[in-house]
Amino acid sequence: MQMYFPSPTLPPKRYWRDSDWFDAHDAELAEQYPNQWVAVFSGKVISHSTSLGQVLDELEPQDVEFPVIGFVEKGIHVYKNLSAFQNEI
Amino acid sequence: MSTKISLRFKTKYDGELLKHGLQVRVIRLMASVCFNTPMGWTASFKAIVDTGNPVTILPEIVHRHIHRRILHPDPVSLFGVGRGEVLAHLAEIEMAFVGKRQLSPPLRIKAYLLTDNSLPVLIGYEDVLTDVTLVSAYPRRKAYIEFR
Repeated sequence: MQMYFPSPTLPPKRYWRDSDWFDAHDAELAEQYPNQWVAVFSGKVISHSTSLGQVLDELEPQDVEFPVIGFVEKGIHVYKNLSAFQNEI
Repeated sequence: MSTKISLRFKTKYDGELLKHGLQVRVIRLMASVCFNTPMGWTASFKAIVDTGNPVTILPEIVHRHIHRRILHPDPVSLFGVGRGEVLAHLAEIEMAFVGKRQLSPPLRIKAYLLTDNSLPVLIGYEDVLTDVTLVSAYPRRKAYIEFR
């Protein structure tokens, strides 16, 4: 997998098909790979792990351009992100 | 001349509640983003556009190799993420939104860099949503951000 590009690069149409596939199958993916990072290429899961680093390591030697990589949430996750220092402007 | 980047809604039902006959949709507003690194720009990552999030959050593996400038030497405690409280460094990074037909201009933003990989990329307000027009029209399944 080509990991880096000289400038931000538009992915091919296949990437967007895979992205739509990823979203359409999110519920099934959440059952199979709960709270894991998942990589999809041409409508297939090609790597999954709780560690994104492991997914990227597995993808690097493979001949896949622009896989879709995302985190599959199972259940309802609420990310609050409140730092300890809050004041109102 | 503006740049419009389409966003996508991801909708599913909460599986556990569905077993009890309760239909609760889990809806996420999704974007594709890439990051600048010393080796070049990364391929795209799926990211959640989180309007309840003040500052963008990046998991460790995403920020490990990217250009970053730590803005404060001490880590900050973030509450309510992970299993309660997690530590993160505030840094300046460079990212871009990836659309089907267009790319956003590179954005230099402040972001919290997490120490683990348990969370997705969460796009927050500071330096990102503060600088764009965000349109979210779920009934029409239409969403985009517009840069002017």
